[in-house]
Amino acid sequence: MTTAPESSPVKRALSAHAAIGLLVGGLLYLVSLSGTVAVFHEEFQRIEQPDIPEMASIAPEAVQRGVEAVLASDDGKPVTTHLTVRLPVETRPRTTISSDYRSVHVDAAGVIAGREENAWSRFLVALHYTLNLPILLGVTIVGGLGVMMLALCVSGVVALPRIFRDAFRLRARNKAGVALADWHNRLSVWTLPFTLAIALTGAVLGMAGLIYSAMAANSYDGDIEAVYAPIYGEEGEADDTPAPVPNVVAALEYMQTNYPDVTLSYIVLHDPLTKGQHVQIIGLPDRRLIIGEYYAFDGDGQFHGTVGLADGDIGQQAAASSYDLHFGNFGGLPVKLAYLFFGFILTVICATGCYIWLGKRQRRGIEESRLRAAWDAVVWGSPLALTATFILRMLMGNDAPLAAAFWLGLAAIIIASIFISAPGRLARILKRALAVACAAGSLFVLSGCIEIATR
Amino acid sequence: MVGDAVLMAALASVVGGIAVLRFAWSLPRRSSGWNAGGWGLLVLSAAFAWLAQGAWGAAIAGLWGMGAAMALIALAAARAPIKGHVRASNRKIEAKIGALPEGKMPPHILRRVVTFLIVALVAMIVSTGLALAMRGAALWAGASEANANVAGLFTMPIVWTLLTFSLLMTGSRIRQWRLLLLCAVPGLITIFAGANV
Repeated sequence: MTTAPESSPVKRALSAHAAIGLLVGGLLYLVSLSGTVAVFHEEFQRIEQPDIPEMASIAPEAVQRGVEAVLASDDGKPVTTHLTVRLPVETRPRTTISSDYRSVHVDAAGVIAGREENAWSRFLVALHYTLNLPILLGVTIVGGLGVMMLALCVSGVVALPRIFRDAFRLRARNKAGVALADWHNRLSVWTLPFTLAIALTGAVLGMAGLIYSAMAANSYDGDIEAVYAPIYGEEGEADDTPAPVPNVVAALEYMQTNYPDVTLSYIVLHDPLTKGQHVQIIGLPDRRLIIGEYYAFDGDGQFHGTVGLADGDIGQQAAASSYDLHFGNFGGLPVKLAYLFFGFILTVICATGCYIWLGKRQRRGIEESRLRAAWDAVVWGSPLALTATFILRMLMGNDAPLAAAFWLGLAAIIIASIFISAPGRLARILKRALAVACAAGSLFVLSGCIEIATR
Repeated sequence: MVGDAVLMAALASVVGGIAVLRFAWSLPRRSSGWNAGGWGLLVLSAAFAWLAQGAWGAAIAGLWGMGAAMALIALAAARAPIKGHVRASNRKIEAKIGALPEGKMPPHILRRVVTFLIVALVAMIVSTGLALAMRGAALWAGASEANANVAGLFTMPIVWTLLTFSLLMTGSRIRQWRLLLLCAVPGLITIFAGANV
């Protein structure tokens, strides 16, 4: 046990750390767990639908064909406000076109190959972004959790007066609760840069809606698009006069000629089939944290410049860097694996905090068997419920009620902890169930990988 | 080519810096030389990484540094002896820390709910006001609209974090409200004065 004298700020910092951790620990654990798994959400999309045509690239004419086919298939409905083409990239070698009404894959010739069916990947990302709540409420709450994670970092550092002296001290097998505290402290300290980056970018992404709404109300007469415009570019003047399909071929050929080294990831058609339409191509520069540069074209495919996310104002570059820095999309597979590892560490840190607090109380003679069982339910029940929803998706298809299954399943496990509160019993049951579920889930993953590899 | 070499130097520096600090902190007596060497290598790594590839380079160097630290932690864990038996903590401090009451202590539910509302809601609103003030100050100082808006965006969560920490560090409800009112002033001025572009 530490013998360093404790001063008042250390005591108060530890109290603040405990208060925040106990209040939001469960939700932080869930957000960390889902975020860790979501690092590979694009790969899971491929596992969910392994039989979709894949390609390293797609010709401009094929893209045009696909765009026209999707716009024609929405005939009879109001014209879609946006049409997005996700171009094939290394992590997701598919072409997918989405309108306001549907999302379909196309083959290398631009022919529609089937509906996009990635319900589990979307559920996973929605769980992380919004806890499956209505978007504005959910994303604000999760953004607030990011702030609480930052506060835990600050209070945690202040509560460790021997942070440098003990930096590599790990009594990993001490049974008096010291091991758990050492694991929690050492892992926290040495992954602090990662946790700060994740928490800050998560808070920024989550709170952006609220902050920009406040700016819009205060300075832009409520026009929130005007807040975004200096950063991400103007939406453009609307003109509903009918017009032909935008010339995507010309835009793509311009990019191939003038920016051959830029990997293209998205094409966004704004207000297609109207005179006010314009085309935005998103290109991924190499070795940057930004999500991409926006290249602007008119409906005829004429180039009108870039927005400046790559080389414009520092604020634009910082805002554009939040997403990829948060999700680890900036360095291919090696960085994704690093994020998986550090994300797992962060999830463990969230779990161990409450166990440390419960252990301290137990050593003072205060048995909280029900609380411990409830925390066991959260720690082991969450990954079990998550894995179970994946298996459900693979067995029942794209329309399986995943969000309901997850939350009802987790609630049932937590309620069960009231009745199975014998020390460690529920944890043992859940660990065994998790091992079986992971084995079953792995079989589906393996099957999907084999199907993709042998096509 | 040169950029790659500088990035490699950054990665080598960060791993070396972690290793040197590991050695420095294991010495029976504090060594300013070794400490300075370790920290110096980390600073050098950050400089090399930024020079090579800007923020991307710094992020990559950071991942390598944390990876090196994790490897050393794993080594420490593998070498840790089996020790210790369960014993009760005699730290009276724990009773004062407790986020939950113990024994016959009153639960102070209302006090805890008020603290939650202050930290979760009031501080959030005050921080948003400060974000608007930061945006206004940035514009007044000549920043572009994009820079000013993003400055406001990043200010809010950072200020909310610091406010949360400060509010929980003070035990006095009066001091908490005083801090919140003080921090609310710039936001209120911005809102009432207006900050139209």
